[in-house]
Amino acid sequence: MEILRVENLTKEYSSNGITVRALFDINLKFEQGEFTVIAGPSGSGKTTLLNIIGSLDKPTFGKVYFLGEDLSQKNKSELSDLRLNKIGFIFQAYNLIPVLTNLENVEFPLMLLGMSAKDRKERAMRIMEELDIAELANKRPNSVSGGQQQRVAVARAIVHSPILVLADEPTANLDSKSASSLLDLMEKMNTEKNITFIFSSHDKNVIDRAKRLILLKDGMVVQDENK
Amino acid sequence: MAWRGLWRNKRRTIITISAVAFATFLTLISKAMNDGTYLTNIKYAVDSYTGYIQINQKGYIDNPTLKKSFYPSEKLKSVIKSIPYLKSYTRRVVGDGLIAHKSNTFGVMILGIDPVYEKTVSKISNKIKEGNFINNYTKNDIVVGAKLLEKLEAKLGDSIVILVSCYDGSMGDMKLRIGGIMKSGQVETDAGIIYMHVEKAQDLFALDGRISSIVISLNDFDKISIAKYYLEKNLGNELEVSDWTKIMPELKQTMDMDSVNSLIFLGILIVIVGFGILNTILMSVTERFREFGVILALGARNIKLIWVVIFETIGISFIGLLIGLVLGAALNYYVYFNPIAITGIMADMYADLGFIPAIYTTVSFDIYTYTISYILIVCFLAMVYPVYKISRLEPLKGIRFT
Amino acid sequence: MFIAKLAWRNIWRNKRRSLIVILSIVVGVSASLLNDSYGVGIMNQMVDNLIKSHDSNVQIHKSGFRDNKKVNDVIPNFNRISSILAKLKEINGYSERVICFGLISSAANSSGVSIVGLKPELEKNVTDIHKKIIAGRYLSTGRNEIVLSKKVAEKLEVEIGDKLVAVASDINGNVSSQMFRVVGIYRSGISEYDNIYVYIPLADAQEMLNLGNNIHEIAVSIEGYRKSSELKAKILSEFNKNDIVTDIYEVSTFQEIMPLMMAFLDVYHQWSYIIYLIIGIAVLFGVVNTMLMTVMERINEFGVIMSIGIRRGKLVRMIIYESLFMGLIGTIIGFTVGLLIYYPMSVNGVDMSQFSESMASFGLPNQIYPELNMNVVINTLLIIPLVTMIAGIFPAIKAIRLQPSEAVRFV
Repeated sequence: MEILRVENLTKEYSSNGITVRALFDINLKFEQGEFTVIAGPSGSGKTTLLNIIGSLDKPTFGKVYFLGEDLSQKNKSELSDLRLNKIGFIFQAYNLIPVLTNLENVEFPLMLLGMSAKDRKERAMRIMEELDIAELANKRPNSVSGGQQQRVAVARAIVHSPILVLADEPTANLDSKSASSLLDLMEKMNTEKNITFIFSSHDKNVIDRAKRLILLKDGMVVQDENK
Repeated sequence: MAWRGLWRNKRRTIITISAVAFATFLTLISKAMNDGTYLTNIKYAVDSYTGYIQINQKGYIDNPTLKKSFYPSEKLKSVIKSIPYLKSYTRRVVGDGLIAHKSNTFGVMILGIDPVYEKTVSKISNKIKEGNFINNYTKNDIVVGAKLLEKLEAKLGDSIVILVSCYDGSMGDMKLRIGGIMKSGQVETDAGIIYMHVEKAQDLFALDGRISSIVISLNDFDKISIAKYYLEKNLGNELEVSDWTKIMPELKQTMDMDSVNSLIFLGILIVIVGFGILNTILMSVTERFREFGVILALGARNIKLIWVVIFETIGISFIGLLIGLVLGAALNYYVYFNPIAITGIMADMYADLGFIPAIYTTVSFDIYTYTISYILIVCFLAMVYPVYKISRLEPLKGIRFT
Repeated sequence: MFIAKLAWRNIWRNKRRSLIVILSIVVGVSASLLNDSYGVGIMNQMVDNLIKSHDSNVQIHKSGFRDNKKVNDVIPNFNRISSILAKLKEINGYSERVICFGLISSAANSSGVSIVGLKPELEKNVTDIHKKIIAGRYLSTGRNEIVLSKKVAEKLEVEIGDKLVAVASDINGNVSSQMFRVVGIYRSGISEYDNIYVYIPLADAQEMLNLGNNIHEIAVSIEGYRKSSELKAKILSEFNKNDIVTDIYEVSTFQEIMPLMMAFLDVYHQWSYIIYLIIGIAVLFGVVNTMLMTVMERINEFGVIMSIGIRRGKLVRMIIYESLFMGLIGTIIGFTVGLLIYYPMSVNGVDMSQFSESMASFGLPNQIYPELNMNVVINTLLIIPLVTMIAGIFPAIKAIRLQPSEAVRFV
């Protein structure tokens, strides 16, 4: 089932009269259950593409269709709701709110969804147990390792059962062992829960594990193959 | 380096500067308005009635009685004539009495004035509404306030009787004519004071040539103390010299009280702003702890960094101060030439207290010194804690600072 | 509430910074409390002083007497009014008075005064001059006694036991005089009143002025000056009930007798709001600045939260909660500190004796007692938190204006 479609996507930035083109005429389709990486050198536009797909940013030209709906027709509140219900994000760093415990961080989306305190604690703990980080529940994010933090980030990204998880360079700050372990985790979520994962990365480990590779160069798709 | 440090975070610096400017502006205009309005009113009172300096028998000001009247000797006159900055002088007789017309009797204060010289010393003669002021042609005429006229149920030209207790203790009375009506705006004056020719008053009170006071006007308000000093040196022991602070102590005290109140209030304001400055400087310093740590590691001494902080604080304070001063000065100048008039019932209130119903400012130097010192003191105090922090900084501590 | 909990924890991310802001609020709030309570104290004392020294809450005269105190304008049928008043339980008392202008002379000097003839046993329920005697005693049932102020006594150079002559114009227009002996000297603390009011027995005043049994004024006292209007209404309704024609009388409240004083109080009241405003603005600068700093520091974090899908309104609320909480903490502490300073002052008073002449010219005693009323409490507790809430708005709007992608990238 197609969940995401991008048509003629172009993103341009202007500063001081100079226009930079981050993305040019991108056309892509994504199906449910994909485990896809968008790769490319720095500055190729990976992060920009990911942000636009995830409704964090708007294209200069072109359209994005999520579950058949045109994102440009939605206002800010509708986009927020969309993200809250259907999408999860994992960033390279600073994913978690430092003043909340790991558990509270995982509970956050559930809290926004209006779940009762009891229910969301249950659900959050369950996910954390699945991801093997239950014992970190009452600790603060900066008292655990980078790898563990990213696991908590994953927990938060999937606790509300989104259709799509977007991860921007999730392994960039991790040593290879932690990176590997994180990828195992995400693969597991992908297979068991049918959550679509789209990464942007230039980490070889990630690229190797991905089932589909989209290569970007200078803002354009140069390669798009399933492995 | 300090300059760049300030502008790292433009908005923060601008807000802090605004806060300083706000406090400065308020301090400046409130002091200017306070001083200006009081000064104008004092001058007004001094010009209108009390005179710059008065010479009386010793003890008169504390207890004004007829008994304490005196003879103006020739020696006295020559001393007075050589007062520095002298503009003019006149003699007055002051006493209490009853005024009666038809069956209406009221207590009044009787002011005997010299028709020629009084005009040079006070503005009483300007307040005549109808009829004539005291003059040498109609010595039997008196001037009463409009309110008193009403209470007496009299009109211009009517005769009235004055009853007094004389210098020697006996009762004296006189029949006089209402020659003029005055309106001063002050209820007490208009209802309770009457004016008559000084010589007639001397007859009435059986003073035999004595007077109650000599009222002196000077050319320059600021030279009162000089003139006073001169007089004190050259007058005998039986006479005393008083300026407005002694004649109207309530006014002086009210002014002082107001000053103290302002001082306290503005102080609190500046302290609150001071906290803001403290926070800003602290933030800008801690943000750069890493940078500072590197600089220290490279071998610079802490004192150099302290100077950076000091300059930054001075920077913020001075810019804010300047803006506040400029804005404040602009307002002051405007109000100086266009005093803010007070209207409505407030105006009546002011007039009744003898104040001019308007707000004035002053453009003297003092207000600036006052403001600047006040603001700067707090700004410098705000510097203390951040400077302390920097003096304790070690290179590694800074670099590792998260 | 989760968001509130998050806001609370956010405040303490930078303890020192938050504490400095809170400290500035503490200063602002306690200063407001003290300033306002001092002002209220002054206003109340001023009015009380005037009422208790002479004017009382309500005065009843023949119509027209208030403006033009003519000797022949005596109160018609005052006995009827007195008997009605005697039955009113809510009043403290009433006093029958004769008022005229006169001259009193001693061997040394003379002075124009307002002579008040009264019955001490009635007057004691209405004014408190009898408590302000500083030498000698108040009037008794004796005759030819006079009580005057220290100022006038000094002017006339008289002491207890000395004789004075009072001269006034009687009801027929003839000059009448009578001799009195000084039995008491008072100090009311109000310059104006000290300068003019002297007190003699009612009977002597009536005799001197040939008034027979008549009086000019009935002063009525009730607790609390705001009740003056109620009292007037009550008196008028009693008149109606007893078929007394009301237009020949004038029943005046304290406010009507002293319109300028009421105007002064009004102005003072308005002025106190301006003080709150100025303090509020000063505090506002500091809070806005700090909030902007904390918000800018967390742009990245806000970006993450927005990516999770928070609605903008919630984010705004969180930021406003932060500034509000600081405001509340500061207000509570500031209020407590203010109270702690207030209590000894309200008991012992603030000594203003170095300004005594000025105080007296305003009708104030040398000791001012600050007073707290509901108004002050509400203003102090409400205004600053309101200010801090407003302070949070601008930074909050700045935060949500960003596109989440920009925020997230902002490291």
